[in-house]
Amino acid sequence: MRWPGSRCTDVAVKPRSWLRFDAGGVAFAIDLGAVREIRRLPSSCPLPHVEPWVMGITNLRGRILALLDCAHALGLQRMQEVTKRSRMVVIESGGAGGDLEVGLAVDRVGGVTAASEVLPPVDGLPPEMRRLCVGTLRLESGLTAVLNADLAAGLRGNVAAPA
Amino acid sequence: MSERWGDTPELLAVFREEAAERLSSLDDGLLALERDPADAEVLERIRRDAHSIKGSAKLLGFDLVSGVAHRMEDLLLAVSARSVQMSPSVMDALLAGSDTLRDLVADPDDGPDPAPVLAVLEEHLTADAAVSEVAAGAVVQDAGEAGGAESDVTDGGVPRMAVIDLGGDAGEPGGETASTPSGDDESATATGTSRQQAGGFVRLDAAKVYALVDAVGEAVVGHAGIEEAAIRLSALTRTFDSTVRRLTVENVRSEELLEYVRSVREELAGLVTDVSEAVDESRKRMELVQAAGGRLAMLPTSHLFSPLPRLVRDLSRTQGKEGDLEIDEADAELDKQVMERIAEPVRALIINAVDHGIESAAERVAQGKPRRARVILRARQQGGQVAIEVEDDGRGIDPGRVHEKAVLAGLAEPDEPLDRADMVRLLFSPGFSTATDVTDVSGRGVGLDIVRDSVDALRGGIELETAPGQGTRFILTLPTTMAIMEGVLVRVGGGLVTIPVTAVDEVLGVPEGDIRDVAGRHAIVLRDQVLTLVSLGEILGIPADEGVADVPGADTDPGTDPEGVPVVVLSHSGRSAAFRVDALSGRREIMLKELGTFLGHVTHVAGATILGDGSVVPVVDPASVLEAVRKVEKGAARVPRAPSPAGSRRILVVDDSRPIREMLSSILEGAGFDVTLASDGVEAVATLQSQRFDAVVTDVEMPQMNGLDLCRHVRGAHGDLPVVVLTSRAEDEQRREGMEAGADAYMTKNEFDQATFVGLLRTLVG
Repeated sequence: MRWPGSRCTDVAVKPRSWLRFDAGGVAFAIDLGAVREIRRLPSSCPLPHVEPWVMGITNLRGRILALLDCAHALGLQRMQEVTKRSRMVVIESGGAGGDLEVGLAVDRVGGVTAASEVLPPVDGLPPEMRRLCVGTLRLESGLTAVLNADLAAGLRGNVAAPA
Repeated sequence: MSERWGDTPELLAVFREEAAERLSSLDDGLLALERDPADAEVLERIRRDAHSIKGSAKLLGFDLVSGVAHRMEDLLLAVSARSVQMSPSVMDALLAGSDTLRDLVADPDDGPDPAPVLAVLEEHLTADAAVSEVAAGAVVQDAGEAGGAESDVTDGGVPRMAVIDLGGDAGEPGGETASTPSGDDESATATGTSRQQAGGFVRLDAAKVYALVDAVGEAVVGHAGIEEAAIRLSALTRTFDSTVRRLTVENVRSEELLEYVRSVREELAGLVTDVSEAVDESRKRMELVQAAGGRLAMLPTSHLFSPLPRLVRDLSRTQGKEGDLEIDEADAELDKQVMERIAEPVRALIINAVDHGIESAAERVAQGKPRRARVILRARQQGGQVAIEVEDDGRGIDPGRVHEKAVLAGLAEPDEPLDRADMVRLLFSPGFSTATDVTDVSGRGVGLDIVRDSVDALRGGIELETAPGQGTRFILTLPTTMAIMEGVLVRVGGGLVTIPVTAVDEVLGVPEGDIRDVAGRHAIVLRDQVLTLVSLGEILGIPADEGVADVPGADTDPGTDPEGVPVVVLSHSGRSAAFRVDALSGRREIMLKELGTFLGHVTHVAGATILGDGSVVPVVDPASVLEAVRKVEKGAARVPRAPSPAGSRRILVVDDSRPIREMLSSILEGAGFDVTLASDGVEAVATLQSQRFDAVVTDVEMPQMNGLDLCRHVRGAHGDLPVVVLTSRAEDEQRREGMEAGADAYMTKNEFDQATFVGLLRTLVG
């Protein structure tokens, strides 16, 4: 199966590794290469005049890191509650404007899966997700939405809401 | 091709720095010569500058650089030997040479083609080639003599220079190596004076310096952790004490247990003392380390200023003006990063002073001013800040014209006169034509709006003083360092934010009753000022009940929480406002950090900081929140303005404070009066002459003519026209003085009440 912009149509070579996580009741996967680290969900501090899905900023070893509500940013409902399984997935993408790094608050991290066949995205996704979802994995646990490895750059554009 | 020494990055860096010093000395000297061509000492100094550049460039293999420097040195030799007469065209040739050198030093291989400049220099030299050669020979000879018999006039510099002279002139590869040690010596001697004065230079990699500054900053912040531990320890001691008391009363079972408890208590007490002492010591040490670390990155402001006299001279000349730059700096130092960011803005202000400030020589003479205009650049240290002033004695800025232009551009209202803060805002805004003319002289064009952007980015301020016909002064206030600063922690809507202490005028508790409702907005009166009061949470868009569930370290420090509504008064670039917060949490030393690549810039936020317990707190951008308040004020002021009914009563409001004028005008217009404004007694007298009024409301303390004198004038010239004196002077004695001057009513600003005021005026005008 082929679709524009995909790098994984040459399936024969070797399966890629994906980090699986749940957010807003949906199973997601992102290329492990885009993931820098996974941490317990830290406390964060809210900022004025930003999109509602920007939870705020947090301290990552002395650096300031933006923390996003992953589900909300993808057009799903806000994160409902912080539990023992809540995690921050730190992703990065080397965009044209330099390295972008951002933390995603997710409900739980499932693990790493190797899969080579990426199907097209399912129909009926919310618009935010349609833009950032590049495909679907058919895993034992069920259908999993594949996020763009450049997710950080994709979300970057619409952070600052007008004051 | 053989390798050059100049391809070694370290040597290249050293060469560039040395050459930059020499070139700036050369430029200074040339400008001095222009004023006094007979100054042999200066001539000799700049010849040495050219010579030294020639020598090191040759050594490093930068032949284009050494070629130009060589020709400049020849020309300077010819001038000192009087075979070539110093003239404006010789001066221009030398300055052009210096410019070319500067460009070539920046890019030794692909810089500008030196041929045109060489040709010009050559032209002056060959005007009398024979004489020139003789002159060159003579100097070498002189130098030889000096090294031999004569005791040195220039303290050992000359003989060594002679060695270099010969080596450099020979221009042979072998000679270069031979002259290396002497070359180093020579340059050390020539710059010896300035270096000794500066206490010696250490060349440091800026990245390393900042790593140290950061580490030290972190350590200072980390120190807060020890302090917290000490506080916990003493809290534990207190609960221990009370537990022991309870045990003693209720449950005396074992003498042994009690004995043990007492010994633990003693140990704890000792521990508390030790920790407190350690904390004190550590703080002192940290302060020393911080101060020393911070200094590593500080440079004298002269680094910033040295190219500017040249800029003023060249720019004035191209515009048919005559101007000099005077530099007055009193050991002010700035962080290298601050310096780098402020270099362009300072240039822009200087260019603006020459372009728009100073007049042509003819115009000046016609006005009885000295022919040569002065631009003065000052830098002085004020605590943790540096003030940089750019002053000119030119035509000044006409507020009327600025106002007109602003109205045309839709940036101001026709009936709202401008105050100084407005003028600064307008002059520095990108869409404002009088101030943003791009001067493209020698590619030096830059707009004034970059001044504002850079100063805002540094959390500095801009102020303006101007007198039409006399001149203008811009004052930039900048923090000396960017990394560590003091912040006032406040709680807003369940979270904490920090405000840079440099923008905080005052922190106070205001009794609810002192908050006034003025023309649709809240205000407080602080000393003589009416300050708009807004909720910081509302401006920041943080509602009172939202915010993160647990903010560690957010506990209010009862010691700093005054009675009443906690209010922080901020001021920046001449604008002030009061901000209501939920609680005050004291002052902290903080490291300002960027918000990270993902967020970049966020409205009203200058960055963030990490507290001792690891929690993150945003740092408020004072300029931005004050600008937001200005918009609130404008919005509120517009609303109540109903058209005045025909035949409505006319009131003249006289006050030198624009916010007060605005406030009174809003109130009175809202009440159906027709209001005219004047900013002092003199203006009021003039207005009273040309128009009819039903009452006057005046302040007492005003420039030029005060309110009491105005009262007396009204009594003399306008009979029983009612006058209401509205002032902050609340003493009985002053009240009597006011009534004696002829006031019909005397109200104090501290007791100001909108309804009483309007009622009073209705009564007075009938």
